[in-house]
Amino acid sequence: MIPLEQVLFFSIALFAIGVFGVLVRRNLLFILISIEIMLNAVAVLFVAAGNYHNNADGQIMYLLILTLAASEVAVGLGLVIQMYRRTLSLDVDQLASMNEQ
Amino acid sequence: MQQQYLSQLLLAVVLLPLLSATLLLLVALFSVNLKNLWVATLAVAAIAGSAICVVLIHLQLADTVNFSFSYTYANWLNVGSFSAAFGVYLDGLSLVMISIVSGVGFLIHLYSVGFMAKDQDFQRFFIYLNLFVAAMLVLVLADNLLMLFLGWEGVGLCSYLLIGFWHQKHANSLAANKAFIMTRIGDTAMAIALLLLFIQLGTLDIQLLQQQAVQLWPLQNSQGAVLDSVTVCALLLLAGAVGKSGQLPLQSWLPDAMAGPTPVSALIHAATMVTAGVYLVARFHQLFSLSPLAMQAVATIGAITLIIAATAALVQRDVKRILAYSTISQIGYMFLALGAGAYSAAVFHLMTHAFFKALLFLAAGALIYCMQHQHNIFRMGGLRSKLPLICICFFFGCAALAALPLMSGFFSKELILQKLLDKEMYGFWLVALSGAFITAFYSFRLFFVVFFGSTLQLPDAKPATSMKIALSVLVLLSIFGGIKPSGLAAVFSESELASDHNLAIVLLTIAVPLSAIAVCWFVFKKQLFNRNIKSDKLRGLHNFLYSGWGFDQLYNSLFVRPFIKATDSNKKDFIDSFYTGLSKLSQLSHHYLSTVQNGQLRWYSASLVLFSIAAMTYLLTS
Repeated sequence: MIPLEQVLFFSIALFAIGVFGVLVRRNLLFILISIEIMLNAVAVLFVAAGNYHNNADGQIMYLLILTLAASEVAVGLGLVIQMYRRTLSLDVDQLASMNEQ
Repeated sequence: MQQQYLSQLLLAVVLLPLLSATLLLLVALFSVNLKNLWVATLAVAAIAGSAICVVLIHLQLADTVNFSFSYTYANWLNVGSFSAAFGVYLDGLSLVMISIVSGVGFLIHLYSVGFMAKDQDFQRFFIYLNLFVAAMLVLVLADNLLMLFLGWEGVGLCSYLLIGFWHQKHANSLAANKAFIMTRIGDTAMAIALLLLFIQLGTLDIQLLQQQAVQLWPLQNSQGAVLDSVTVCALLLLAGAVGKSGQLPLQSWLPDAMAGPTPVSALIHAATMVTAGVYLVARFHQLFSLSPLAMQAVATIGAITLIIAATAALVQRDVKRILAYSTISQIGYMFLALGAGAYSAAVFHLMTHAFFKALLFLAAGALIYCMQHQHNIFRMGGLRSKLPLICICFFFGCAALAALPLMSGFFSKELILQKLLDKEMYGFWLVALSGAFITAFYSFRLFFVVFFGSTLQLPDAKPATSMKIALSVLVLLSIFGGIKPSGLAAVFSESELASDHNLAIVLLTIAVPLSAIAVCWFVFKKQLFNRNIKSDKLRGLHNFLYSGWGFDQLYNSLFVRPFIKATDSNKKDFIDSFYTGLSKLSQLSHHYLSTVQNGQLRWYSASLVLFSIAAMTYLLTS
């Protein structure tokens, strides 16, 4: 049995890596991947917490998150394709056109 | 029966000029071009009609000495306990006033027909002139204060319109503004007096009001004079009178009012409107008599104005300005008499002054008309043989103004001096006597400079016939007009008995103007009048007197310039700066906040993360 603390550290580290990726990466594809990492960090935490409380809810929650992540990726990839078609690039900084007067 | 007849006559007196003015105005509105002849006929006939009605009234009342007649034609306002009606009140005082207004008014209308013949705005001129006469008649006939105020403002309006009649010239508009604004100061005080009187006495009917005042407010002795309500009311009324009559401290508009056509100066700014203040004080003589302080104020203002204006007239070069200052000075005499309680003497002087001052102004108008609009008396000279009629007019006008014996002005001025002695006001008597000396001096300075000496400029026109007629009649009135109206003494409940005339005093009042003329002739022969002044001190004195004791400069630096400065600093909306500051602040904060919304996705997510961390920290630590 792995202690809860280790799982927590792991999850927070994973989440921080995801956040870091979202903030630093300019490529939209990598941002999506970073979001997936963050989702997985939360999912791990759910499973570990459910296990800690001797409760199956955490695992059910993981399944829900999995389907959510799948559908989110589907929508996200659709947006990525749209973006590529319009700007011929995946750099999110180029999407600041609303600010231009 | 007689009541009915009188009331109809009085209605006609007021309405005839008003109807004529309305008719001419309507014609002008529908832009029908009437020939000047028709305009003149209508306007002059209206005033003539009202003058004839006044004569009929005189005939009707010839055998009654003590009369007062009031009649109400219609209700005007009725609010709660307040009511004002279109009513007239006729007694000896108002009878004298309507005689002057309609009589002198008629002569001046007649004169204007010739004088204004070449003016483009002939019709407009007669509309204003008719309207003025109507308003003045309303003023003197009104039986309540509100109607008096209506006439009061009406004459003020007409005065403004007529001073600025030649408004194409900017200076004339400025003079009109000055007259209007300065008289407005007095009018405001008078409106306050009107409200105060109504609050305290509950009525605006002039006779009723004074009866109640006499009952309500006991006579004070002069030692314990305090600022109680009767004094306040009287002083406020006095302020109104002072504004209208060009007395200290509101006198400086009158010399500038000479910017108007000369018949206007004669009618409004010499003979009738400016004496409205004298009429007002005389009309409220019961109220004024209750307050020794107010009476003192009236007399003092009159005496100071008399000397200031007379000395200013000594050095003027413009013929109309000389006459304007002399008008102020003569009205000072009237105020002095009013303040001394010699009401009938004041009104008597008002009447004779109306005659000879109208004559002088009209003669000055004829002079200017004949001399290519030359106003400067030092550019004229030796006109005695060139313009004999005008010379005669000026001689009798100046003689009456200087109060030479047997002229109309002599009787009234002598009466004022006599009354001052009777009331043992020796200081005022001395002032009045020295005023008489200066008056004789400046009036004959004008006469000598214009009509004697060497000829400098030849006249190029002859006065029109209508002008000659008006001038001739006024000459006769100036000579023989010195008969005191019989009804006056009864109005002011003064005894008819003349006090003993001290022969020495009478001789003195005769000798003073004669000696002044002798001195004047001597100075004129030495040609001292138009000599350049060498000494600095004397030139300073000359400039001081020439500017009318520097009142214009004083008011400029005291009121006009600070006001302009204040408005100048408020030009950028000083008061609004709080609100503009608010809008500036919100614009600035908008500017800084909008930089946050830069469209950068990563900035947005970073702020999301940052604020989630902050919120979580807050929730966990609290």
